[in-house]
Order: sequence, then structure tokens, then C-alpha cells
Amino acid sequence: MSLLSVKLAWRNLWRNPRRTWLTVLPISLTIFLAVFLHAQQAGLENQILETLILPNFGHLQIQAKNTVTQDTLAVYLAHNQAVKSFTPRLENYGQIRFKTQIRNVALLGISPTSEANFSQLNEKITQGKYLDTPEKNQILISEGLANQLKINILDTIYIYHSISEKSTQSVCKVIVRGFIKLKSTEADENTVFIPITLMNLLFPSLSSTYLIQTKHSIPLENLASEMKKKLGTHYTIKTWPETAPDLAQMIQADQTAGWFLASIFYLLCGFNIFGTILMIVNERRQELAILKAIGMNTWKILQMLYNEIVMICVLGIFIGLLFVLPLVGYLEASPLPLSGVWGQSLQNMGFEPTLTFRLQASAIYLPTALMLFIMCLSAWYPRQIVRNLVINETLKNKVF
Amino acid sequence: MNFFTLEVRLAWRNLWRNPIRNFLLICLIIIVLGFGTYAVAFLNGLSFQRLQDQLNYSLGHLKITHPQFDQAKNVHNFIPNFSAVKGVLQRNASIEAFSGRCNVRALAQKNNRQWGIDLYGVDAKAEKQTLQLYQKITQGKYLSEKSNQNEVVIGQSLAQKMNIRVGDSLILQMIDKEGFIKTKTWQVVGIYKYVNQKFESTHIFVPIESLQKALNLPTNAVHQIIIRLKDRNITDTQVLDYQAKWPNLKIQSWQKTAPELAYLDVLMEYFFWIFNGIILFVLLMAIVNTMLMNILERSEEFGLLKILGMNNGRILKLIFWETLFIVFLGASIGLSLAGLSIYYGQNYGLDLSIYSAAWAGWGSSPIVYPFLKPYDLLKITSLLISTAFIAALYPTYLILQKTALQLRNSNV
Repeated sequence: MSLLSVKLAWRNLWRNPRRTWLTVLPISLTIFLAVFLHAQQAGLENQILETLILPNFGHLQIQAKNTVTQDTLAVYLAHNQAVKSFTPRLENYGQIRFKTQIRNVALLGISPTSEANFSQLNEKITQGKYLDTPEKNQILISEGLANQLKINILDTIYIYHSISEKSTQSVCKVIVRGFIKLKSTEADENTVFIPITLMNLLFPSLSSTYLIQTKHSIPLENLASEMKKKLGTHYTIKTWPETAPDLAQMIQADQTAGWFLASIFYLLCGFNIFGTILMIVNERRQELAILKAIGMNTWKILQMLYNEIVMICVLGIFIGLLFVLPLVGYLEASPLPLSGVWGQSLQNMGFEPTLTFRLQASAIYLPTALMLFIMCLSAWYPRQIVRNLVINETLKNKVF
Repeated sequence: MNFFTLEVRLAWRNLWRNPIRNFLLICLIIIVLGFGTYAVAFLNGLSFQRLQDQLNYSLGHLKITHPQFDQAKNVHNFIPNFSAVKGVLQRNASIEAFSGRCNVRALAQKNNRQWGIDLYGVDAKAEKQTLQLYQKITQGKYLSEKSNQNEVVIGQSLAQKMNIRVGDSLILQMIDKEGFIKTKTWQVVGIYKYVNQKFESTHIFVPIESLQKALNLPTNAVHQIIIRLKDRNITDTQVLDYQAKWPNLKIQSWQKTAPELAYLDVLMEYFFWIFNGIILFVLLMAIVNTMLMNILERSEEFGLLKILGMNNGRILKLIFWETLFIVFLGASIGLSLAGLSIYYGQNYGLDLSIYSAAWAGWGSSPIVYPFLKPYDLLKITSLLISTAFIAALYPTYLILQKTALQLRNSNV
């Protein structure tokens, strides 16, 4: 590429700055919107993973098929390099009695230390204290339930349970240690957290499930199948898309919708780029004919035109990124709070009512690559024009 | 006055002097408007489907309860004067059907594991007239209309979780009127499949008499009355009427019992403006670009027109007519394409079952029938036309502020 064609192209751009800006701006706008959209989507996905999936289902779940093999599982997990953290859970429904009131509740057996590490349950305490270790007969209850039954901290509660299959129900006396605020209204009205050691005593025939947080670098499916091979048939292993298929598909549906919107942007922008190229070439037919007449060959002319197009695109992409990156970076650090209907509906689904963003490398290079691709596609037109330019005819035909 | 004035004819001919560029712009409008309209129709269909499903299968239009009957579903809080209320409801001509139900929280038991469920005692005949859940039975049958049978209908999700089938027995534990824990066994006669998994895994139905007996309740004690109106739009007035009549009962419209459904409409409205706003903004850029090229490239020509005696008003008209033609062509084709595909969708439905699990959480059937609300088309079209005119303003301004000579001498 000769320096001359670059120079000419650069000067041509600023011969009609208005037109240049009019093409540069839509490109910038498209890049801006596309990066913004992708970042918002990644943010939402991340939010679903962090606030809904990880604390409730874990990246992986492993359940021993009988209670005997449970302990070896804990040892295996503690020594596995791919596991970042894990916690056992044992969930059952049951009845609690406070004074004369009996309520059906969800009993959730947790291990206080590893749970604090895994889902930061200790930070959700609104009143009272977190469970002590070593565990005693203490429980935490959700705030909504406490309000309905008018329970106070350190009140005594009875949990109904059955020791063996056939026996009638017996009760276990526990003390309320603290209240926990849960996001979903329904869970907030009927959840009781019990130390898992106590839960194992109450329901000896049930085996607990281990929730696992993996290190991000390893693909989940590979890890799951590797664990399946190692652990054998005594365990069931499920990845989070298997345990929460609706959430997995919700993410997928959201991604599809996002791509639909983004492709409209790209389409619009593609038309815009093509329109400009059309203009660059058509309005300068005579000029191009003169260049050709004084001996510039087709390829050189094309080089000049292509340089112009590349400059416009690169400038557009650059300006777009210049504005969007700091904005998204700022929003990633401090998410936008949402109020009104949007916020309410997010809260109902169990989310924080905020608009979160997350900037991934793919959110930048995908739109950029696509813009460059569109640019290459539309480079076909000037080639046709310049090649078929008949010098005499063009010079004679003044446009008006 | 002749409609086809000189400006109109000139504008029409100008369109075809540079067909490629105008054609591109028209294509763009077709695509944007087509997609935009279709997306709106699709979302309308989605939210309508969801509303319809929820009202028909689980909510009804009105719900009457004891004022203290809340999430805890305390067994004491039944409607005290059900017979009297029943008489009034039967005489109301705008009510299609109603169903009195007992409703308590219970535990389903199997192998020492327990599941929290929402137990409904229903009168099979009244329930069938009010809600259509009986149509969703996939295995076995719905509750028979004979009273006091030990039959139970459960959802597919629960059946899978508990690993039980039609014919198996189901042990339920609940708290009766005296506050004692009571265990009773029912026989599974039917399994229903409703799109909402959460509903499926919690709602189970038994005959009302058997539940009343198990809970030691009097025979006409019900906790809630679900009412289905002939016309959904009179829900609010009915609520006011009955609230005035029975101040000691709680009467709620479906908007109250399921607020997320009520503000779905508002959400969609927001989405409509954001989606179309963004698209039209990008389109605005494209139209400005094209019109600017269209007009500036002809500045010499406009100079000549001015010399020949065309005043600014007529030039303005000329440019506006050109814009209008482009928009009109693009819009009519785009809208008719969107219209055709919406028409197709209405007749055959769009099957979204690849995402069925996601829709299951969202609570509607995987088949969506897109449609447009009365003002949607008007809103989209007027947005587009105003966008086009805003886009034409700037280039027109550039032309009008210059004198004929300046225009003649300006070099493109």
C-alpha cells in the first residue's frame, strides 16, 4: 500500500467532513449500543448465576444415594483441585410448633461454617446472631415467618420429626438464634435453617446434597463427567442447567432476544455504511475518471477508496468504544438501582432490583469484528464501479 | 385543487433518479418497521397468553376470603356465612361461575421425606365450571362429582419428585381446626400438567367434603371463593359492589392477588417505547444520511429551481413529499409483511417449545399467538413518520438558508 493512497484517502475524508461524520456517528452508535447491550446481558446472566443459581443450586450438586457413602464424598471434594468451595445441605419439609401454633415449613439443614463461606448466609442476619460452632440445638428462621408467628430471638420452638419409618412423631426442642431476610417472599414466609448435624439426627434416613462452587476455568460438563467416572454409581451428579432448567433456558431466551435486537442494529449500520460507500463512489465518478485518465490504475484507485472506508469504520468503532467503555466500566462498579415496575418485577423473581453490567472481552470484539465484516462485504460495490468506469462517457456526462 | 401538484409529481420522479439509494432506504424501513411491529405483536401475544392461562387455570377473576386469611392459610379463617354469600352470587347475572374451596397448607409424605404443598378441597362440579384445570389432566381422570371420595389430583412435577403414579396412595399431613396434626391417606386418580412448574409441584386437589371432615370443619365452611365473570373488564366494579355488601370479607381482584400479572401490561408498554425508540434512533441516522446526500448532491439543481421562481415553501413541500414517498413505500411494504406474518402466527401459533422450560417458569403455554393492540400500529407509524420528517429537516434547512446563486456555485 502506498503512502500516497493513504494520504489521498485521509484528505478525501475531510473534503466533506459532514458526510464523514454522518457515517462515523451511526457506526459509533451501533458499537455503543451493541457493547452496552452485550454487557447488560452478561451482567444479568452473571447476576442470575451469582444470586440465584450459586447460593441455591451450586454449580454442581452431588448426592450420595445412601447415607453411608456421605463422608467419603466430603473427603473427595476437599481434595479436588477444581472445587473452589462446597457445602452440604439437607432439605425437608416439616412442622414447627411455637406456643400453640403449628406451621408447615421448609427445614433446611446447613453446615454453619461452610455455608457462611459458600453463600454468605451469616451476612443476611437481620436480628440476633448466626449459628454457633460447635452446633447446638439452635436454629435461624426467616423474617417473614418470625413476624407472622410473632417469634422473638431466644424463643423456644419445637420441631416435629420421626426417628424411624414407623414410629409416630416426636418433637425436638430448639432455640431461635437469629432472623434471616430471604429475597423471595414465599421462601421468607416458611424457611427454617437448622444445623445439619441436628438435621441428620432428626431425619436419619435422608442423605444430604453437596453444593459445589467450581473454579471458572474448567467447563462444567467435563468436570461433571470426570467426577462421575471417579465416584461411580453411588452418587448422582447434576450440573446447574440440569437442576434449574428454567433458569438456564431463561438465560438462553434472553440471549436470543438480545441477538435479535443487536442484529437489527448491525443491519441498520450495514445499510448506512453501504449508503456512504455508494455516495463516496457515485458523486466522484468524474474525479475517478480523471484519475483513471491520467494513468492511475484501477487497483490504486480502489486502494484509496478502501483506505477511506477503513478509516471511517475504524474511527467510528474507536469513538463508539471511547464512550461506551468508561460508561460500562462505571456501571459495572456501581449498578443502576431500578425502581417502579421494573424493580418490582425483578424483586419478585428473586433478584436485586438493580441493572448490573459486566464487561467481557467478547462484548467488545464481537461487534467490532461484525462491523469490519459488514465493511468488507460492502467493499464489493466500488470495485464494480471503478472497474466498469468508461472514461470518455463519464467525463462528458456532467451530473447536472 | 389538483392533488398531483407540480411538487408532488417532481418528488415522485426524483425518487427514481437515484433508485439504488432510495431503494436501500426503503428496504431499511421495511426491515425496521417489519421487525419492530412483529416484535411488538409477539410480546403482546406472549403477555396475553400468560394472563389468559393464569386466569383460566389458577386465578379466576375475583377471590373472596376471610379478612385474616393470608399466606399462613390458617384453618380457622373460613368464610362464616358461605350459604348466604352463595345465594347472592347465584343471583348475579354477570357471574359465569364460582367455586368455594377449602385451602390449607399440608405436607405430603413418602419414605420419611416430606414436601410442602398447598391443599385445595374443591367441589368438582363448581370447580370445573370456574377453572379449566381439569382439561390439563394427562394421566388418569379428574375428581369425580360424587361427594366424599378419597380422591386426589396432583401435578406432574410433584408426581415425579415423589415418584408416585395414578392409583398410588398419597399420605397428607395437615393441622386441623383444633390444632392437632392429622394424617389422612388419599388415592391418586389423576395427574395434571400445567405449564407452571411451581404451581404443579405445590397445588393438589381433593373433594371438599373429605377435606372438611379431615379438618373437623362444618360442612359449609370454605376458605376462598373463586369467581369467574362473564366479562373480565367489570372486575373492579364487582369488587367495589361486593366489598360494600360484605364489609367483613376480603374481596380481591386478580390484579390484587397476582400483581405481577397486572403490571405485565405496564412492563410491555415500557418495552415498546425502549425497543422502538432505540431502533428508530438508529434509523433516524440512516434517513438523515440518505436525505442529506439526496439533497446536497442536488444543491445546484435547487439553485436552478430557485432561479426559475420556485420559492422556499414549494422547495420545502418538494423535499417533504420525497420523504413521505420513501416512508410510505417502506412502511406499506414493511407493515404488510409484518401483517402477513402476524396473521400466519394468529392462525397457526408460534411454537416456542424449544424454550418450554423457560416459558414454564414464566407461566404460559409454549405456543404464542401474536396480535396487535388497536393503537400499536398507529403509534409505530406515527413514530416512524415523525422520525422521517425530523430527519428531513436538517438537509432542508441547509438548502433553504442559501441563495440561488450560492447554490448554483456550490460544488458538491
